[in-house]
Amino acid sequence: MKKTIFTIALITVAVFATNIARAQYMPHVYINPGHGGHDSDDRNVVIYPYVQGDTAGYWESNSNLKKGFALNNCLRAKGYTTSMSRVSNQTSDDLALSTIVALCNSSGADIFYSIHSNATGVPARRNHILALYRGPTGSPVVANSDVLALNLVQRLQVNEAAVWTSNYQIAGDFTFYPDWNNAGLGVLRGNHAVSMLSEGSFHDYIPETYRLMNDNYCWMEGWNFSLGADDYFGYSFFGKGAVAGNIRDNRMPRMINDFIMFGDDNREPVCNATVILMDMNDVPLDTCYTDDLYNGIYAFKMLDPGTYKIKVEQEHYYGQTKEVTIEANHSTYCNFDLARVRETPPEVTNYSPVWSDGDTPLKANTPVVLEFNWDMNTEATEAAFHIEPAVEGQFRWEDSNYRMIFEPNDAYDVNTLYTVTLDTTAEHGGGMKMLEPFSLQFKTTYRKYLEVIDIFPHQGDPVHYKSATIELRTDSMINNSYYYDKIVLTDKDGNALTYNRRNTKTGKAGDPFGFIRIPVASTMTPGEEYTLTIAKEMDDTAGIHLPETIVHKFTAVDAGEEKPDATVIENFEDASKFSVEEVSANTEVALTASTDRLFGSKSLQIKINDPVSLAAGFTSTSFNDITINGNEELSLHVNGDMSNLYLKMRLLSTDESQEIVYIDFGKINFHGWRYITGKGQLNPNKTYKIVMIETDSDEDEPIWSATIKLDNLLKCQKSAITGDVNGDGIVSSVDITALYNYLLNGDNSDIVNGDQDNDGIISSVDITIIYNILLGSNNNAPAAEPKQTNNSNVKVGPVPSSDYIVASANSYIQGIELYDMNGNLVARNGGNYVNVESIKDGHYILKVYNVNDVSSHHVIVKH
Amino acid sequence: MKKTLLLLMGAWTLLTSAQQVTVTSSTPLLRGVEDAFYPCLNPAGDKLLYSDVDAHGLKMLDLSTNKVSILSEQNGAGFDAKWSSDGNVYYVTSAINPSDHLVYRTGMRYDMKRHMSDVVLEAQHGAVHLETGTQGMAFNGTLRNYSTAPNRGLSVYTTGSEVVLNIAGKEHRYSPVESYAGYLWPSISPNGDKVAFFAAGKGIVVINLEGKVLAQLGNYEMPCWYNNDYIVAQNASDDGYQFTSSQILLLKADGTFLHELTPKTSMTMQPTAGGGKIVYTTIDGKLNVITLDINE
Repeated sequence: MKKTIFTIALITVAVFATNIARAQYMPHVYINPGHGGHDSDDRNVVIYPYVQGDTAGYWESNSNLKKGFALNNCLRAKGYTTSMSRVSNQTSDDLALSTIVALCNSSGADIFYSIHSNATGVPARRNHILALYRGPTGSPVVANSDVLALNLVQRLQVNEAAVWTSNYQIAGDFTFYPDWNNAGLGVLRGNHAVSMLSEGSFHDYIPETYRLMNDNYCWMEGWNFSLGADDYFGYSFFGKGAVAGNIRDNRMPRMINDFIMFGDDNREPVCNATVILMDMNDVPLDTCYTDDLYNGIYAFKMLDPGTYKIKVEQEHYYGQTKEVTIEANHSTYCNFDLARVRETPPEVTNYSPVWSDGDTPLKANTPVVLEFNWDMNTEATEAAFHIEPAVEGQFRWEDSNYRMIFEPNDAYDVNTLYTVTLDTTAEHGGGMKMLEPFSLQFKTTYRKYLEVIDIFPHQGDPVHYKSATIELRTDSMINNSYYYDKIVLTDKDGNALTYNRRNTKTGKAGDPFGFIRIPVASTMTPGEEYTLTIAKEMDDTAGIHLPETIVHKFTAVDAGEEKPDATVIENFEDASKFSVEEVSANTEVALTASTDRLFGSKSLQIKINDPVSLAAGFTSTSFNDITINGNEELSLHVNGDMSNLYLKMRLLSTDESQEIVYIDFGKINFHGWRYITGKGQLNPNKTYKIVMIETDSDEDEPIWSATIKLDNLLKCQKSAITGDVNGDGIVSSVDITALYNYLLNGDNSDIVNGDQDNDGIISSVDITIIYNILLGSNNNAPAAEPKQTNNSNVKVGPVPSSDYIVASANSYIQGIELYDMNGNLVARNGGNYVNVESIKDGHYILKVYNVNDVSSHHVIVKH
Repeated sequence: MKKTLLLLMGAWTLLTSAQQVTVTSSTPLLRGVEDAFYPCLNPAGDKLLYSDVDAHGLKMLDLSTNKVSILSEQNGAGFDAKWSSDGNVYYVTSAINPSDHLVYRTGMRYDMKRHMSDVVLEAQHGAVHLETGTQGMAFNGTLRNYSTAPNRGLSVYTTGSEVVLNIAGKEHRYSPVESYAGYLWPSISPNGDKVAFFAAGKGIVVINLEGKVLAQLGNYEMPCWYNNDYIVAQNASDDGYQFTSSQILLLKADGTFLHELTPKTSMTMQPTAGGGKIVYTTIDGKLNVITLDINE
């Protein structure tokens, strides 16, 4: 007995002494709840019911601050001392990284928590915990920072109110950002506390975004931070625990669901539920409520250890009670899946199509929509659905399974009567079946598919690399919704190019055809192949889609590429020199200067409006000074508008015969600049003058206006076309046959230009060159520039620069590289800047590496 | 209306203050030798303390001989090292106690004559603030203090949101501007009549010895007196993860003049001044020393 008393006394003294020591040496924690101020370095995620920029909506700075406050309060309740880098959310709270580090060091902190949440920065979504400390993984610059990080993430990972897509990740920031050259995160650089930065979850995973709007959810993360600190310092003296959880419908999908969801997040969170904490005798101890922001989160804080009951009530659900055991210094999670109250049998309350015999037949892809009075058991209801004649199709459920939509995989048969039946095996989420079957009928019309009139670029077209435009023309007005998802332009690596959406034009009622004309915002790389894909789902205003997906491959070119062997004989700089020479009645023609040009400062714009045809002729005072020899050819730079206008040039020989010859520049069935060599047969023994430029159109072309631009007109000696062995003006298999005949039999009767590689001999190599031309490959293509992607949020400057070029973005920049215009790497640096002090003056391409993205930018170095 | 008028007058004052600042020399330091951070010039401007990117260790570059001496290899030594009026260097080192995981900080003095460091304030838990004075130095710790003399002339340090001035042995505590997060980087003007410091969220503040605010110079960091009338400072911005711009500014202490000594894109930072020289580093540790000609 004496021994027992002595032992108890000893323990009491020891505990007392420990408490005295603890009071004197409790750790100091520096809390950095990220940047404040709803500014450009903050992250706003738009979620219903908030709009972009609404500070009451989701901002990372808001949730970080809530977590920071919770952590601060929990730590102080435990006896820690603390400092916070901000306690409000103003621009003045947007402290510089170096200031935060200096404040932490000055505070005498033992540990430093930088509290954040993460974002993917790309359409993909995930939700996991990331903890970073300074240094390479496994070798923190400040000892124990990896231990602190581990202690934290183990406490965060057990959060069962969240849906995690993977386990936590811990890394040193040097390793995590391998291209930053060990620069590391700004709030850890120079920080002498045991320090880490937490990305507690992904705030662009929308179900998590909604959770981060909830005060209790943020409190739990702050509480878990405090437990992580306890673990790090080996403390277990604080005798309180907490319980939290997520309350969801046990089967109904989310009503707001236009975002990616994983696991239990697919089910509807229960808003406005009353959650009651009771002792084991059902005596209420505390009450809390889930909010109305679609997260279903509740929590009870600072509870004494023991066993409790938690009761959940909500007017549209059956109540539920669970027992929980709270442990000291632990977070307990208790989720609820509530069953909705459904007291009547299911029935169809609304449907479409509504059609009766004698009504106008319906389009060939009309979906069948059935709406119910209850959320339905999808499996049973789909099994109860029948359509005759049988049609393959897909079911889609909306409005949390209150609406079923059947869509045929392809168009229905034309002129056919269909009967849809839903039999009585269909049941709602509560298991009750329909009392009466339901049926409807409809008849289809004659038209099945959307017909394509024309597409630009055509297969294999050369397209000027800058300011390109793509166009789809169809036999009816195109559906204006979501067509950007259905028309995709990609580079050779599959990266999508961006569009100038503001300047997109679409056909409207009264136009002769349906069309979408989309300017391409991205600049392409000359010599590189691109792919235009128009999805089968592209439809018209009646919902009739294309019969199949269309894929056109084309090559980007520089239409303004220098032609060293050619002479500019008209530069079209001075529009006043040009006048309309011939024009039909009712035709309106305007000749004006345009700044949209390839060379100099102007081009000549020709605008023609005519209700019948687009025939006109134009001349210039300068044409008299131009002489063209019969062994020369003419080339013209034309900016087309896909008007299908014909463009040609009328020449007159200077000899007595005054022979008229037309040089044909073809049909303007393209958009953007194009270099066109005219076709026409000049007599090598004559010289010619230009009389005029002429336009015309087909009478059956449904276009009655055109706007084209002309830039440098060139002349040069006619040259043999590479591959055109027989001199017929085209490259074909006939040219290969001619070479074979020569090589095998010595027959040179069809050889005009046999030496394709100009090596002085005709050999099998020349045949290979023609094969490559016909197959579309070009081994002499210039080296590709660093790829140009669509990351418009990356900013680069200054341009020009003499010392540093710096990139900024709203996501992590992992490193940048500087390339010269020949594609040679001249500088590289981790982080977001590169020193160009020793780089020679010139134009360069800067590649900026984001987390999941690379973008390229034209920059200039000038000292 | 009054506020607008005041702003306009302020702008006019700035415009009509036709000071002309010329950088008369610009010389790289330690280029190709090592990257250097946290530079600190002595008042004569002939010796420069510096450290590595994490302020581990402390070195001294003699600008007249271009010789480098290693003063410390300990953690944290470079973060807030200061020159004392007697020419010695004072600094704080930090270490984690493996048994309780707490950080302990030690006050150190590097003796220039003996070429070695001594512990002048034993390791203790909590903050240790280095107080610089015209006639001495002090370490102010949570548990214990150290000072070279009770009367350190005019000395200053900051703790939390307080500027602590010690004038002839008497302590004065001022909180002249509101700043929840706290004050940093205090320094006394060479003629001893003003103190400049940084208030988080507010920027650089200049006060007199009675704690009265004389000027607020803008939301810049790391103020350092160039002479009695001018202050050099850092103006940096970031995207939440990394710096996106940083430059060195010359500010008139009465708030009437601002001159960009380096462009925003130069990524120059951590200025220090002494003996008519200004030294700064860059984000990648490239030291530079410049001299100025200011025509007023």
